[in-house]
Amino acid sequence: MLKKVWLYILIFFSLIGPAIISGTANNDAGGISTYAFAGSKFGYLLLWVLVANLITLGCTQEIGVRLGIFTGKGLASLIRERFGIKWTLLAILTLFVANLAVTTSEFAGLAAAFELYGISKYFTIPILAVLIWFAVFKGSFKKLEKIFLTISMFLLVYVVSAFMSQPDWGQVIKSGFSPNLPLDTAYFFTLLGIMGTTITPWGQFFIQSYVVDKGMHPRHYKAERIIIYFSAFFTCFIAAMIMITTKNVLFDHGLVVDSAEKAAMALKPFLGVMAKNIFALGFLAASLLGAFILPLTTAYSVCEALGFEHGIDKKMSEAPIFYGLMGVLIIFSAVIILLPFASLFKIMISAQVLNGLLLPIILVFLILLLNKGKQMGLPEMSKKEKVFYNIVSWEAIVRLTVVSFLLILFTLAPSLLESIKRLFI
Amino acid sequence: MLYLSQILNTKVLDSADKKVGKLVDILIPAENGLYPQLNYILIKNRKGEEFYLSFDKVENFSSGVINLKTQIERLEKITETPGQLFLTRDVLDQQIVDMEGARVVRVNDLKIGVFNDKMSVLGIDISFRGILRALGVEFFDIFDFFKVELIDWRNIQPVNGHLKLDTVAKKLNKLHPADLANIVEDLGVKQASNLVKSLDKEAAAKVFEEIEPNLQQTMVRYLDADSAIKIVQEMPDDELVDLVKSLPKPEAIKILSHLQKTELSAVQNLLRYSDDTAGGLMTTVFVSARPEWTAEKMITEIKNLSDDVRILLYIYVTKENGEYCGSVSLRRLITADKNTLLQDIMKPYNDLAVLYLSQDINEVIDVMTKYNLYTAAVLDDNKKILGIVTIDDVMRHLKPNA
Repeated sequence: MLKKVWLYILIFFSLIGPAIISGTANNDAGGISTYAFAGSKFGYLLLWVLVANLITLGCTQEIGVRLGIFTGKGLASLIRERFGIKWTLLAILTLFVANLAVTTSEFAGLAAAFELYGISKYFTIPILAVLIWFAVFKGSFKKLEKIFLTISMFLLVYVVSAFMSQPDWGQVIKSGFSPNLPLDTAYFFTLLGIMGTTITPWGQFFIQSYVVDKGMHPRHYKAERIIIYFSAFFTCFIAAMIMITTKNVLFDHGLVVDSAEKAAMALKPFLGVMAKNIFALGFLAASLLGAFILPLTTAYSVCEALGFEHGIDKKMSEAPIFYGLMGVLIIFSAVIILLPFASLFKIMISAQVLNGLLLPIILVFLILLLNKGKQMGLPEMSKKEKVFYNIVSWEAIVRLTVVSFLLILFTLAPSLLESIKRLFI
Repeated sequence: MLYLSQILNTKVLDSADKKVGKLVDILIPAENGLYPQLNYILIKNRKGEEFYLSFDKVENFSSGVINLKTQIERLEKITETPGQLFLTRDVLDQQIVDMEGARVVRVNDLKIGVFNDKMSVLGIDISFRGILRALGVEFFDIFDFFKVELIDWRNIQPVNGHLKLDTVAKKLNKLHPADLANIVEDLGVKQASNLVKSLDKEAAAKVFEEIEPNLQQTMVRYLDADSAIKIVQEMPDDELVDLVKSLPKPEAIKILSHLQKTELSAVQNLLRYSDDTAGGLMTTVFVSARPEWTAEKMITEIKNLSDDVRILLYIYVTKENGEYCGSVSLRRLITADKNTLLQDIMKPYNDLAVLYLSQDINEVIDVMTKYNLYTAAVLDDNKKILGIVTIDDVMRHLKPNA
C-alpha cells in the first residue's frame, strides 16, 4: 500500500519536475527585467496579463506539441510544406528578426550581470561571444545545459520574497482578474513586452522541435500535455511573484527598475547582503542558457525551412549556412551591446516588445496549421477542443495586434493620444 | 525546358481562347520508373471549383499561357484520379530522399521537359536559385552567383503523399545499409521509424547498426515494442549489447526479456564487460572447430551455418573444453586437400596474436594494427576462447561519426 502511494508520488514528480524546470527556465534575463519593470512601474495593474498569458501560453505550446508529435516535423517544415515558399519566407524572416532581438537581449543580460560587479561590457562581451560560439559549435553546451537549468532555479527565491513582502493577497487576486487598458504609451509598451517575453516566436519553434527530436510518440501526448500546462503555470507563477515582489519592495517606495542593480534590490528583504550575488548568478545563468539556445534554434529553423544542411553533428564544410547564421546572430548581438550609447536594460525590454509585435504572425500560422491538421495526420479534434484552441489563439492574436497598433499609433503621433484623452475626460 | 514554379497559376484557355481557369497542380503516376509523364492537370476556375483534365487535352504548355485542344463546353471534367502523385501537394516544398547522395533534401522546384515525345518530370531543383525562382525574384541573382542544382528524377524517392511504403522500401533496399542509415538520420524519428519498419527485418537490423547511438535509443523508444524487438534481435550480439547498455532500464529490460534463451545468455555475458575493453568489443558469433576434423567436414559445416556469421575469415580451432588451439584461414582451408586434418593446416596458438578479456581498447587497436588482423580471438585466463573482435568494431572507435 505504502509502496503504491510512493509510486504515485514518484510519477507525479517525474511529470512535474521537468515542468518546474522548463517553466522556470522560460523566464530569461529579458523576462525577469520586464516583469520587474512592470511591477515597479505599474504595481499590480498588469497582473491580469499574466493570467491571460497562462492560458495562451499553455494552449499555444500544446498546439506545438500536438503538431510535433503527430506529424514528426518541426514548425518551420510544416509551414513550408503547407503554405509554400512565399509564406515560409515571411515566417522565417519574422522569426529571424525576433530572435536577433532576443539573442541581443541575452547578451545584454550577460553584460548586465558582470556590470553589477563593475566589470566592463567591453571586456566581457567579446570573450563571452567567442566562448558561446565555441560551445555551440562543439556541441558541448548540451553538457552545460543541466548546470544552467539548475542555476536558473534561483528564480524560486522570488516566491519566498513575494510572501515576505506581505502583499495584500485579496488585492493581488482581484487585480489578476481585472483586465484594463488605460491610454498610456508606457503601459502598452510594457503590456506588449510581457506578452512577448512569455509567449515567444522562438519558444513556439523550440517546443515543437523539442518533441520531434526527442522522438515523442502519440502515446506520450497525454503526459506531455500535463507537463506543458504545469510548465506554463510555473512560467506565469514566477512572473507574478516577481511582479508582486517588485510592487511591494520598490513600487510602494516610488522606485522604478531601470537597471539590473535596482532589480536586484527587490531581493534584499529576503536575501540581505547576498541579494546582489544570487541575483547576478541567476541572471548570468538564465542569459547564458538563452545565448546558447537561441542562435542554435534560429539557424536550425531557417535551414529546416529552406532546405539547407543543418545540425550540430554536421561539419562546418557540410553545413556552412547553418554555422554562418549562428555566427551572424552572435556577432550582431555582441556588436549591438558594445555600442557605447546602448542601455542594457532598455535593450532587454525593447527586445521583448519587438517579440510581442511579431508574435501574432507566428500564432496565425500555428492556428491555421492546427485547423488543417487532419490532412497532416493529426487526430480529429472534438468540437470543444477546436473551439478552445481557436478562441484562445485568436484572442491572443487580436489582443497583440490591437495593443501593437495602439502602441505604434501613439508613439508616432503622441498628440493623438492627448486629444483622445481630452475627448473622454 | 520549364520549371513547375513558372507554370503554376498560369491561365488556361480553351481552343476558342475562352478562359477556363488557372493551373493549380499537375499529376503524375505514383509508381515511378523512368521520367514520369504528366497525366492530368488540376484547374481551378473563377468560381473556385477544382477539376482535373487529362493532359492529352493540352495543346500548348508554356509559362505564359496553357491552351487546350477543345472548347470549354466539350471538356470532360474528371473528378477521380486514383494512384496519382500531385507535384505541388506531394512533392514541391517537401522533403525527399536523394538516393545517389544518400541524403534528404527539400524540393525547391521541379524541372519539366520533353522525354520520349511526352511532357515529363525530369528532375528536382534543390538550389537556392530554385527558391529565388519560386519567389519570382530570380533576376536578383544577376551575377549567376547561385547555381542550379538538379537531381535526376530517377535518383529520388518521395516519402510523402499517397505512396505505398513497400514500393519505397523496394527501391531503398538497393542502397547500402550505411547510406540508408544516413537517410534515416536525416529524416525525423517518425518518418525514419516508418522507413525502417517497411524494410525486411534483416535489412532493418543492418541499417539500425549503422545509425548513430543517440538516434538508435530514440528509435527503440519510438517504435512499438514488437517491431523494435524484431529488429534488434537480428543485430549481432555485440552491437545489441552496446544498444542495451545505452538504453534506460525499462527499455533495456523489455528488450532482454524478449530475447531467446541462447541469445540472452550470450548478451548477458557480454553485458558484464565494460565498453572499452576487448570483452566489450567482441562478438560471440564465430566459427569454431575441433583439431581432428577434416577440411571436407569443415567446409560442409560452414555451408550449414546460419547467416548469423557476418565475418568469416578464420576458423577458430578449440579443444573439447573450449581451450584455444589455433586458427585456420579460409584460404588454407579451401586450398587444402579434402582429407587433411585441421590440426595440420592450422597456425598454432603460440604463433598467433590474441586478445584478453580485460585488455584496453587502445591495446586492442595496437595489436590488430601491428599484426594486420581483420579479426582476433579473445581469450579468458584459462585460454578459453570467448569471442572475436572484428575490424569494423575497432574502426568505429577510431572514427565514431563516419
